[in-house]
Amino acid sequence: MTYFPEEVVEHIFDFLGSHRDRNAVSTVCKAWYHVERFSRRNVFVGNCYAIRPERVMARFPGMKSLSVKGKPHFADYNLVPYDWGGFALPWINAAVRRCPGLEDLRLKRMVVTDDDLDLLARSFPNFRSLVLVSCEGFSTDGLAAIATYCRGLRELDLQENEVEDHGRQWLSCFHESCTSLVSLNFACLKGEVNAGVLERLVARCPNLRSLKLNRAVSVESLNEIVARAPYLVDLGTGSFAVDHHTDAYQRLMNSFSKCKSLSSLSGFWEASPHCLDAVYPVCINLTVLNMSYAPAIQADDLIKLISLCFKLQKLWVLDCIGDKGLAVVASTCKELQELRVFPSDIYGAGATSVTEEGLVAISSGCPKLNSLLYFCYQMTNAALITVAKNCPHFTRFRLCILDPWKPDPVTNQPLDEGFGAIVRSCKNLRRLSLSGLLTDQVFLYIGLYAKCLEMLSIAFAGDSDKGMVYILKGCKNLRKLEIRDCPFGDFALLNDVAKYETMRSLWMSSCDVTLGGCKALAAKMPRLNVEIINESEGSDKLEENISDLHKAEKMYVYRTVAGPRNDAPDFVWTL
Amino acid sequence: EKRSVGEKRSLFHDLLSGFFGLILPPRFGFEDLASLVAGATRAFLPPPSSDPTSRPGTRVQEAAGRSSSTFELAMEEDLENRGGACPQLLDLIPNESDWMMAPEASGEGRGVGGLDDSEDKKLELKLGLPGGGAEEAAVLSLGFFSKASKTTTTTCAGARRGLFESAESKSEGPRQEQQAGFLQLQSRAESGNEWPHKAVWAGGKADLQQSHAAPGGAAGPNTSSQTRAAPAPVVGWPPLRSFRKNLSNSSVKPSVELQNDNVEMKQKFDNNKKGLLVKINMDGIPIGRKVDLKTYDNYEKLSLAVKELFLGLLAAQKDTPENENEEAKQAFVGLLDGSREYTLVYEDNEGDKMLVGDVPWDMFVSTVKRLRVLKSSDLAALREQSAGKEQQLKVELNEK
Repeated sequence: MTYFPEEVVEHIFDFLGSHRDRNAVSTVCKAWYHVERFSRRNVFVGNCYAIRPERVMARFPGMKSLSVKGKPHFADYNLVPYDWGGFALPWINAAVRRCPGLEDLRLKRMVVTDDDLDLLARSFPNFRSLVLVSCEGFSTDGLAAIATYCRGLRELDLQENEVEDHGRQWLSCFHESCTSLVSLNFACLKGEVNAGVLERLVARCPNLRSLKLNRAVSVESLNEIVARAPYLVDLGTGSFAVDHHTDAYQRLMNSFSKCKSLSSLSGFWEASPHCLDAVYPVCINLTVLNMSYAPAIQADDLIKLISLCFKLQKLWVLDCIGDKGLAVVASTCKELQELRVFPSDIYGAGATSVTEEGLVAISSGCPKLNSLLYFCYQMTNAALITVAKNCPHFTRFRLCILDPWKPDPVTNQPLDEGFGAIVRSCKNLRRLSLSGLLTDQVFLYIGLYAKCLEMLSIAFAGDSDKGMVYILKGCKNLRKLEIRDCPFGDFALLNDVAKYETMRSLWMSSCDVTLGGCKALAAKMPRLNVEIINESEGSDKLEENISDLHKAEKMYVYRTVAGPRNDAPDFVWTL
Repeated sequence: EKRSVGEKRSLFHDLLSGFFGLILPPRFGFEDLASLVAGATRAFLPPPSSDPTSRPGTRVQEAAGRSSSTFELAMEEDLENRGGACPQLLDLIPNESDWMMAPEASGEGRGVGGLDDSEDKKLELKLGLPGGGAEEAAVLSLGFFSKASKTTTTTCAGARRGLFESAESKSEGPRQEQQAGFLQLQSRAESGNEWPHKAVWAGGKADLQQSHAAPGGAAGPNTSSQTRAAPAPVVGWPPLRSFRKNLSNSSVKPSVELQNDNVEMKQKFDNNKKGLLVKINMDGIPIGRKVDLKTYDNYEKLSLAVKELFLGLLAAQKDTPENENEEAKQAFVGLLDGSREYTLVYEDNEGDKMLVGDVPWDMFVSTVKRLRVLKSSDLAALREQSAGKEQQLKVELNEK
């Protein structure tokens, strides 16, 4: 292939969008490797500690868009201590030095400070898009820097970040001449913004298509905004606290009826019953609806709303929709691909919630369903078997039965057969989360059938090491395995140590692995970082009299070519 | 010289037909080419193997031949192949520390040169690694090796015994397994696990049937008091982001459930919540009001509340019916801006007069002592007053 003209190869590679395809072709031969590396524009780093930023920038000098992920997934559920790591600064610094043409940056579960944002804003003249997902460490001052210095910014998308509120002036920092915004999402901000400034910003950005307001934005403001931006495609409504008897409400309804392009709605933070009527005019065009932030909206209002949404593809709701509501979804939303049902009241008795009946109804009514996140209080094997039969196209199946170790309430059996049916039927399953009472049998099924599985989350499941061994042996494509509160110990951990180099990471917490086992793993596999998070007080030195038989409370293992990290805090021991 | 796209395409056809042994349809375009290339590289990359002389073709055949073997056999082979050794790929990196330094030292050339000795190994593998990026390629494409490995179809788990002798007994005896499982649950209970269900399930199935008496078809969830009485908090469970856990607490929902899930606790909590009542006066209105700042959580709401408090009084001053008085209503527009007729100001715990709206709400609530709705025209006078104070302070400090 060495006589192949390079520009032809490069032209072909332009059609290869996915990172995996690009990685694959770059290993074919040296020539292809070189062509690929100079032509790669989008770089994805799944674990910020797997490789040093400088290496990435050196390999891909033409990088325009960078996406980096930091903390392990269980950090979302407060299992990872605050200053564990995942700092954005090394990545930003490296990009400043080597890729000043950077245009897009996406960071997930990383620590970003105001200084980092300031450096970012000042260093990249072509910067267009900043997406921060589940990050922390910054305040509205950092956002002010972005607004001030990123002329030509097109996208500022803040999803579920922890942002400190230092006042509402950051929005005013968008210069009067800034007209380039296409997407602005500040729904996760707790503080207020200046309404007038917001309305003027929206009015002067003719390309604005996606706008997600935070809870503090009033309905009056929303009205002004919607009136000035009728071409919005994606809207997060802000508080939506409005009395449907008022003029403001009428005006809102008028504004919405003019939004012919609106296809995605979310927000409704303080919406109360009866006020959703204003939104009815846009329902027939909605493909995405997120009502999961609105606990005051009960099933009846949801049903009235959803029964108009024939084109819905993605629905996020709270479980107060009930089985009855899900039946309406099933009969109305034939295009539904993704459903997420969140618990509305985890401290309560769960009087209004969903059961296996709702899920079965959805599965029989929505044949295109491929992604599910479902919180419920009970599930039966029969239901799961039916769901598996109805929906063989699942790529993501995450079921959370809120009570750990809960068996099938009808038969008192574990849910092995139900989940087994899911993995057997859904040949393209890439992500699976288990719950309920489960024995080693379910892991045997998963190992046998879930050949495409890439991410598996296990909690309170299994009987013995065999469970974990089945998984590691059988799931050829496994990339991320996260386990908590399962009886898996050193035997399972050490059974096939080379497997972990084919995966991105392994997380085990509250299991039976011991310090000795982790040390053995670290000794055998120098290209893995084996990190122990030790949160017990008073012990910060690994050497101090801690027996190898001591259980490792939290262990995080990941492959890396960067060696042990140098920014680990005291409570993280790298073995 | 640059070739035309048409020339490139026909060149491609020839090369690819030769290389892959394919007959391509005439309209085969670059996009199709790209997906073909991607698919082909995925299929032909060798799986990790300790046998450097094995060629990709044979491996695929071997894989096909193995397709009828059972899961257990496949697992055995995996064990042999992996056998604790790293995949062949990673061994191509001769000296990691050198490798790390190379790019910084002198750019790409050195990196490429440094791996020349592994070229031979690469050739043996037929589709070998390129020079400079073995490291990252290894990291990034390890996933492919697993993907390209044998596509074993599996027969029923119980058919053959393999590594795990319990495989057969598993299909025949799920009950045994379960009981074993329950016993294990019991032992976990003994070890002091705090989840309340443990006590319920100790002792086997009989107890289970009693405690989980949810009749089939019952609409609601299993609400037996044993299973969900004030669960002890388990960190990180349920797997929900924090902001979702507090959603119903901070909403306008009429029945606000609190973390303690207990009506008495809720009442106690309400009694303990102190209101923050501050006086509020408005220019031109002799009667003042009091407002409870704890009932609002942002400035917009406060502004609306101020309007509600004084609208009637203002209208009464002007001697017109309350509901019709647009003029009066207008007075309350832009309270926070300083741009309209009236402006909202406050006095803080240091005695200074401040404009409402500058600091975050929580900070405002903790420092405010009283509120005033000021005629904006009076703001100037106020500024002079405070400017005078500032001057005085400056003079005093300089004199020290």
